[in-house]
Amino acid sequence: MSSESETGKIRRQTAAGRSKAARKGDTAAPGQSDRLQVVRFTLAGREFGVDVRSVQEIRRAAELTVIGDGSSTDSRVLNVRGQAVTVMDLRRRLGLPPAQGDIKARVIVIEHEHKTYGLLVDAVTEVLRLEQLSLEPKPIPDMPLDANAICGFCSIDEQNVIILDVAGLVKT
Amino acid sequence: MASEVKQSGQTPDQLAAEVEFLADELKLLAINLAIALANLQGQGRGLKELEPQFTELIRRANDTSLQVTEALQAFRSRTGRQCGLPASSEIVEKRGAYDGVEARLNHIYDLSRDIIREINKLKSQGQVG
Repeated sequence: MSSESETGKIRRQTAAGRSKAARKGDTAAPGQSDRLQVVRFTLAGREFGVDVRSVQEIRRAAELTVIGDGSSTDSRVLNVRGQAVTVMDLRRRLGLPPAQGDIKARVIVIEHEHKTYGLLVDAVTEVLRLEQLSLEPKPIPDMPLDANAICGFCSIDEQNVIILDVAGLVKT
Repeated sequence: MASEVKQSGQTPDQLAAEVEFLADELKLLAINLAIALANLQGQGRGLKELEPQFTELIRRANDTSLQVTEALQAFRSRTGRQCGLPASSEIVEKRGAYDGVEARLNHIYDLSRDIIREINKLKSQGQVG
């Protein structure tokens, strides 16, 4: 269904003149005011993004507390202003190979339906605004991603960036 | 003596590692500020008040990072190959300068954290989206 021509061409925006973010299912046309601001991050050498409206803050993975042997997807917790927040290993959640203990790993603290979650990622790159975005889910050949966890795709600096859907991610 | 330099925690390699650490911290803070500001969209007054602080913070961070880099290069050119010699008064003075730069960076961190704390406070009070 999706093609390269459907993949949005992305232009970086400055901090000025922010506008409402695109909703799921929308495909912003050139010059359209609705845009999506995303927190861009990496996992196993791949580029991802998540809607900034769901993100509270970024924390260091070094602050995590591991429960038990840390073997399950959500066996880590993070203290977020006194609240113990379960942290999901996003590599495991998305079926990617485990990390080799990168001390620069980060936790993206998100909020969904009044609940707080943490997403363990390799690195957080930047916050940027997408001018145009294809939100048409499509499979990635060498990555068995859960379609429910994907919001859409876009191309930034000639790299394919997978925009994740927070609701799909936290759904068990 | 080399051991004296090492004990001070100010060897060139250690300084380089410190600069890398500081750059990493600044990047994390900048991303967190960008997130906080992005979630303030549509709240004209709050954003107007915060954006100049954010801009100033980034400007200062950039300036300070440049100063650290320049100071590190100068320090290395003077002491990088003299680890077997006693630390001169000049080296000691340079260490003091580095301490000053580090203190300035810490001040920037404090400012950043204050801004993030204020934004979170406004959010919890429902004053901003």
